[in-house]
Amino acid sequence: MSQRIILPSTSDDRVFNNSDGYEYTIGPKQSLPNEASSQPTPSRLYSESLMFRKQEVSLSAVTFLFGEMIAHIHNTSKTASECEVKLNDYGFVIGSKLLELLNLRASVPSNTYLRSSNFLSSSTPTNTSANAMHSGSNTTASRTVSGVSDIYYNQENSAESLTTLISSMRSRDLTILDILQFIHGTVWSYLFGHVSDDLVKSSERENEYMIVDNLPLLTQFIPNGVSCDFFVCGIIQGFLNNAEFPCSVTPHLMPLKGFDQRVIYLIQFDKHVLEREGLRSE
Amino acid sequence: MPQAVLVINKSGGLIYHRDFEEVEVEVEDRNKPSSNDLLILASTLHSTFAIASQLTPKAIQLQQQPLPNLVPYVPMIDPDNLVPRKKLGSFKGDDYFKEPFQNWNKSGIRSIKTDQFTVYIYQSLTGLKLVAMVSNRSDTINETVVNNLLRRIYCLYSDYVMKDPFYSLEMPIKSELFDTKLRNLVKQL
Amino acid sequence: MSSKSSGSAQLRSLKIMGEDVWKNRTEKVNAELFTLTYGSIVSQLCIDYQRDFQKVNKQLFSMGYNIGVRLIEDFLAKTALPRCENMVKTSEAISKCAFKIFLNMTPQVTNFSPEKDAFSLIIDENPLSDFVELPMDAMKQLWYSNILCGVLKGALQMVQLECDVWFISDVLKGDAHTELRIKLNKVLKDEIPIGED
Repeated sequence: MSQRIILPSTSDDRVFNNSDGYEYTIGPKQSLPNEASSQPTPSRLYSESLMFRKQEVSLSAVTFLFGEMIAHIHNTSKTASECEVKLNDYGFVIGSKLLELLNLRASVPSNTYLRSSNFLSSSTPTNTSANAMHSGSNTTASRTVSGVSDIYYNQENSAESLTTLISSMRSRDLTILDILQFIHGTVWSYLFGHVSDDLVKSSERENEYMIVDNLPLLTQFIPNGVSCDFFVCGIIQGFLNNAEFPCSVTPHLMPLKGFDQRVIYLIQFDKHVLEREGLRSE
Repeated sequence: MPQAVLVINKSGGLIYHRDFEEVEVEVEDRNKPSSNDLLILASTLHSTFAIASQLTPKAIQLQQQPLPNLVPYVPMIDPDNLVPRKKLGSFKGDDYFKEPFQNWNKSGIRSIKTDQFTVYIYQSLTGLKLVAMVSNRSDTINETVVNNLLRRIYCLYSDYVMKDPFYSLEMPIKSELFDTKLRNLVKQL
Repeated sequence: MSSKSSGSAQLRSLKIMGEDVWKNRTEKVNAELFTLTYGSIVSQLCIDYQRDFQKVNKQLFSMGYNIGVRLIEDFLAKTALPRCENMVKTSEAISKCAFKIFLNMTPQVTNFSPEKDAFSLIIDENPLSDFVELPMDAMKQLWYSNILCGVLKGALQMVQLECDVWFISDVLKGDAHTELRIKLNKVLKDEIPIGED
């Protein structure tokens, strides 16, 4: 650390050393205005790292890490269902974070130098029938792919905070279809580089929806790896639960010709979500 | 098309074996080696490989200019995979590699030829051996082509065996994904 | 191929090869998926081991080792790289090929020991630790990216290099740099596959 000639007027030693990190047992530290100005570089955590910088790693690195996570969970669990629950939990934490992060990033207006897509800033039209959703998903798909991949931050300006670019927050998704479209488009593109291959409403049960992936990115090298897809289930569930759409999510292997590893994520919403939806549409 | 592919671990244990037949033959008609025979074959190949390396005469070992060790690139692009193009696991593009490569096996056995067929051996730096058995009736398949095939099988191994968390190292490979991908690859020859 | 050419030409070709394999032969994913998955693993381990960070370090190392012994086959399948004849060459292959191909970064190689059997990698920008700020209790003991040490240990052992790998410093702990040290203990000559010489 560089030499500090002018000391802030405080007796708290920790102020001198900004490498101490956030002390979660104490909570946020109060600081006087002159202290704040004596620390010109704020924590990266609250500024640049929220930017999407379009950095990439190899698929191999991710699948090796994922595989070792599976092996670790497998070795520390007694039953298959314990494995699934744990795996779900690992994903759940990520889903909860993505709800906030991706809504924030989707709030960056499209007329800034960040090129953005219409999809992210406007909600998609609501289709009620499964067929309409089915046919609609392809057009949405192509728009999202180009849109999301275009959003990356010019690294030369990386000192600036993401929040300074946002004039108003994207309105939260309040209906089942809106939020599922967001997962099918934005969340999937963010995680896997493409929109999900389909989004379908069950014709049998009112509360069931399905997100389809023809080749699950993380489990594509694992034979009979469908139980490992509980990780992605956890991500979806964490996202939806924190958006107040409580549900359960399960993976099902549904091979099609040419897509031996096709997986369907079955989303079953709690009853009261449908009741709420009914009240809104009245 | 090779008649068989074997994978032998670094201690000489057979961990994978698959036969490929161009014409379906009644099983009874054929003199199929038992799994025990195959295990013996694998460990024998492993030791013969080692002994052969040590048999190399000193005069040859000391020779200033060893033979060139570069395997030329032979494309193996699956025409069925082009439209729509299927991904090759963690490998980007329409082929696993596109340049000539060094053969790691410098002094061990590269091939054994009988009246009927030829055995080709490819060895990685970690000691893994990939073996292909090819009928001599085929005149398009030579050492270069087989080395290209075996390196691609090594690529499949690195994806569908190494990235399977339920696979234990050095143990027999039971992944049907590896099986399917290998079959598709071999069919191209 | 280039075994007779000069050392610097070989090092340059390693760099070119690493960049080529990364650009043309490697499927890529969003680095944040990697970052978030690793974060989820570390935070769960901290809970499982009740914030005993020495145990977390050990567990991360062992998970890395399990990855390394497998990942080496992926590395060799993608590069078909010949055996490195010394640790200088090894250090370049790790930095310019391995780190490049898997994580799209090239850590700086530095601080070679006089015997040329140990060196450091400076990895300040590390996709594992993006988004991360350590809580105070973890700052003192946790090596957040310790999985990397395990990966290198495992991968090098599979090409018969018995090494110690450990972190010397970490920007997450407030250090100026993140420095990872690799020291060769011995070449496992008996285990080098016969047929290479």
